[in-house]
Amino acid sequence: MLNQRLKTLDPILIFSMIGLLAIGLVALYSSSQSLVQSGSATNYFWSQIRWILIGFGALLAIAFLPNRLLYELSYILYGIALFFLVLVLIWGTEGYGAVRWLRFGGFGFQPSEFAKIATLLAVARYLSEERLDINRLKTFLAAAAFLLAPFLLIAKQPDLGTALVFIVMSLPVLFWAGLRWENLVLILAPGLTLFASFNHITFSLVMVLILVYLFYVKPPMLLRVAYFILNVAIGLLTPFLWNQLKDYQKQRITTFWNPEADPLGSGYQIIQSKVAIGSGGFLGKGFMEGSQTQLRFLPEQHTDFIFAVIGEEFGFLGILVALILFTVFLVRIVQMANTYRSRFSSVFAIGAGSIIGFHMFINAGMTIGLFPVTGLPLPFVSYGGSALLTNMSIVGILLNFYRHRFEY
Amino acid sequence: MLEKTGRRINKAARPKSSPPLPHHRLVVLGIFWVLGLSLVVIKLAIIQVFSHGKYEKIAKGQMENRLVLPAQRGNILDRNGQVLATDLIYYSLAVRPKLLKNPESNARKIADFIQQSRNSVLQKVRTSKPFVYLAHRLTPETAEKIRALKLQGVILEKKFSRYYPYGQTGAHLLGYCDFDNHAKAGLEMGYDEFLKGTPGWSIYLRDALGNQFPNLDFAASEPVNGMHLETTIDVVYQGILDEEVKKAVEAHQAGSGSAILMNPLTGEVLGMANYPGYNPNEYNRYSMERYLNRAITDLYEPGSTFKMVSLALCLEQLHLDMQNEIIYCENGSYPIAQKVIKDHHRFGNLTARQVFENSSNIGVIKLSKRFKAPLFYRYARDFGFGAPAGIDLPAEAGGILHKPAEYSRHSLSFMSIGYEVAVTPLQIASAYAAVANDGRLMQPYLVRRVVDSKGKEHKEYRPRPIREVVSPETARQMKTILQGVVENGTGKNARIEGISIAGKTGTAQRLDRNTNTFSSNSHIASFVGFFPVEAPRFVLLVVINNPRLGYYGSQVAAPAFRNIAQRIIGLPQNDLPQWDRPGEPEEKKSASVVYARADFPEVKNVMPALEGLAVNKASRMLKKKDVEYEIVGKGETVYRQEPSAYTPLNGKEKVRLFTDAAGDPRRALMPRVTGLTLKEALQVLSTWNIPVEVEGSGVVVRQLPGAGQRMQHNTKIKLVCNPT
Repeated sequence: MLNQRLKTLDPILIFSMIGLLAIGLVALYSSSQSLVQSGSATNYFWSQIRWILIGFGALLAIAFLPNRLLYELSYILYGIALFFLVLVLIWGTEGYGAVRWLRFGGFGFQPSEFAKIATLLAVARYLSEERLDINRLKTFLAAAAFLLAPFLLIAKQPDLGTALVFIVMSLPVLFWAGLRWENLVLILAPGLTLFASFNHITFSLVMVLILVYLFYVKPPMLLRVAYFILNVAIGLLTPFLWNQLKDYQKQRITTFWNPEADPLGSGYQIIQSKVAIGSGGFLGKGFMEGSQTQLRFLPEQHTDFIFAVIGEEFGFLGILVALILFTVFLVRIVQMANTYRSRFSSVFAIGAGSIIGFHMFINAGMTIGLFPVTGLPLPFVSYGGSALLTNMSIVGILLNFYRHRFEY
Repeated sequence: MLEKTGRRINKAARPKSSPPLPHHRLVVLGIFWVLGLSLVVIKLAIIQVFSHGKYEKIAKGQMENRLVLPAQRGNILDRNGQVLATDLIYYSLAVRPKLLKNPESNARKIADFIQQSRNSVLQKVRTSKPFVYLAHRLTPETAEKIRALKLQGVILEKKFSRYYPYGQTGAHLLGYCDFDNHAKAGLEMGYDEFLKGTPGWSIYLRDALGNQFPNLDFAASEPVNGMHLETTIDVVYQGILDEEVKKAVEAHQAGSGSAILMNPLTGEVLGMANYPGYNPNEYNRYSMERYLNRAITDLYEPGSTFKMVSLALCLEQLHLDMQNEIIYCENGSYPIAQKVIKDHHRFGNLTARQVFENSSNIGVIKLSKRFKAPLFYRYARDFGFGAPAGIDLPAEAGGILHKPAEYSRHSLSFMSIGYEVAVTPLQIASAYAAVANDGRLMQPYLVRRVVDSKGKEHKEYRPRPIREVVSPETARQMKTILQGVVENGTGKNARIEGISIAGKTGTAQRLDRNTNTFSSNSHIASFVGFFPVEAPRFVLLVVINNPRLGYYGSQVAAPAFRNIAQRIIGLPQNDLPQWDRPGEPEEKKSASVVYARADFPEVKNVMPALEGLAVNKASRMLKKKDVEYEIVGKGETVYRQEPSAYTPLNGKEKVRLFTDAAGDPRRALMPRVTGLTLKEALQVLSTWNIPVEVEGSGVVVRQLPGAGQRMQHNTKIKLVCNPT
């Protein structure tokens, strides 16, 4: 009976996920040894195993929820998530220079993780409503509001990395939901303005480009003017907001461009990560043989920089295996999005794939110096209960939808 | 409401109002994914494959720490195995300020142990430097206490540091080492290449916190400890020299003084003292001139002691009948080259022998008129003047001996009485040693053997004859005249009842370089001699510079010579043969004690050097020579022999070979350990494996047996200590 039920789950998604979990456990085991030896930390390996078991519980429970229940509950869940996000700003505990955690007894909980699922469910539901055209301003603004609320609350913590997830995930979701190309450009343009705003010449150039584009696309006049003013406002406000950023956030961004300039401060992590990965070479130094890991030169090796542990001990080949597993996992999600008959499920799947893909991309890029240190963990691999529970729940939801993929 | 309608619609059919999902757009998402992934993979390939070497090097630099393992410097031993210089373990305290937590409170804790104020420690710790030293030469106990604090960032470096158990005794011979244990003078410097050893290294793994772990996978090199020097010095003699020179300098309010004691048969230097000197344990406390080993670096015009060159010429070249040749000594005043040469006494007619015995300058100058300048030069040169004697110490001076071509009309006259030449005390001592050694000049030396840290002989130095300066017959005649100096002439103050001594006084006025005149209030008083005359065992020179009470060599130096000689003769461990009373016929004396000249191992009747050899090899050598011998102890190698190497054998004495300390009464001469901390004292005594009983703790205030006393194998050492 149970066997019968389990057969309704998608093996490719599950096994690629298990592969990633296994890689994470191997790296954590290696990393834990160095930490346990020094007597300075708990054994992350066993803790992670506990979380994986809890995660599987959640995954199976969600996978066998009745059809449409999540659809029904999505707005309520979204409301609860917003409530927790507000709560964390009032009662949260601090970690890494930001207030991210809610504590219930001895149990820590990161509302921003839960908010990812809830927001995605809500947006997916909204975008699957009848007779909605995402290319209409009203619809777009409503969808944007779903995303912007958690974004602002999380950015306020501040947890810029996680907040950014909401923005980045929105693009494929809106795109998948039918947003037209020209509107996509209009959405992306303020981002360009943001980066250009630090220099008068680039800023002016971008403004001119936007004007030209507006005349070419021809949206309603009022909208045209409003949009242009919006861009100008972003351009003027950005330098001001930049100064509002916390020092550690600024540092993360500035040292991203040249980590070697500050080898003792925030650049240290990126340099050490690159040294660990680089010294690993093509085949790696072998399990438990990674000297940068074992001698603790590699910082945050069980969370943010676990990718570097894999890179050092298993080399380029080891990392390729992990990247292939991720690709299989994500391709499978996209295939699911393509097969779900339900628009709600399909939009959710694209959003879920985006979240996990974005995490992976940013984390991997961070450890090799492509991106700044954002604090985004590597899905399924990095140590961390909240993130693991979230990601496995997402898989549970995808499997739930998969069981009902032929239903609308 | 909305949900209900939604469900209904979905149950019915696909919602027609919503536009279908644009499935072709998955291609666009796919392209983005592939682009992003390629970016990561390309960057990874750059780091891991193309720049792998660079990052590997950085990683190695971070984690591999090359540690230098210091080698222990070899000991310097005297001829009886007494330790004259050794390495003790000390600790240097350093701090990595970045890792030190709570600098305020921890600085106070540390300051208590290193006798520094809390503020001065705090000041040193408050620096941007990654590493600072706080203190050096901490004892192992102090280091242990600091280590027990378990402070992060505090480093205790083990260091070897030189320790000289006998303090000032023999300091100029031994030299000294600085805080880094680098040799700075003396034997330490001259034999540094053997003593210093080879430091080892090992690669340690270092983690991000600065902890170090040994790693067996890495290459490492063990330090090779330095070799030991077995010297010719006898610390007992050396102590006597140091004491007596000091006494003489103080008694005559002199500027400084030196003494040299040599074995004339071998050229072995038994002791060499200078006062004022320094304590090598506190090497950085003295003014520069105290470090000078004046016995080998001071140049002076020797005056009368140099007349031995003239004497040699008179005997060997002029074939003078010393007893009957009469020289008129001008009643003590003789003008030459705008100067008036004076004798200390108004002599009239003297025999040639009396001229030398009474050290008449005028008499010698008149005799020198008969010398040929090149011959005089050759004799002076052959006795070793004008060139370094070749002792194995750094910085030996060569002196000045002009060539005949450079002589003025009166040069020969002045040189014949020891002016217009510059010599070192060592040159005088070794020239007289040549006379004592039947005319054969030996190279003075200090190191007999170099033994590696495992006890294996690395190098042996044997006596080295330089040349035969005068014939044995001439030498014999010179000896009797020099003996007459002590018995009848200026050297009477050196006379000791019961032993025959030959010698010569020297009183040189210092030449004032500015006025080119001899100063009347600045003198160098010296006495050089050897004993017993029949079979010389010791050559001894005493030089006293600038005495203010008295100035004649006979007044100032000869008594010091006598004191030293008396003490040496009186030593129980001194195996001087029973010499015959003076006054007996010469022939009978030399027949009763057969002493050959310093001949070398191939000659049968000389004791071979056996120390350091395996017992069976040593006994084989003795059997070959038909010498009776006894092996004392159970060891496998000979560490001491009796009599010592190169002493002539008459075939009757019993040779004893000692193979361990237990049965050897002589090796165990108790060193002075009072004034040392208990730990230091135990380290000094540890070389002997003799049980030590300790009373109290802290600094040793009393020792049993006393310093210099002989210990039997069942002796128990007792140390009484007092905390300071």
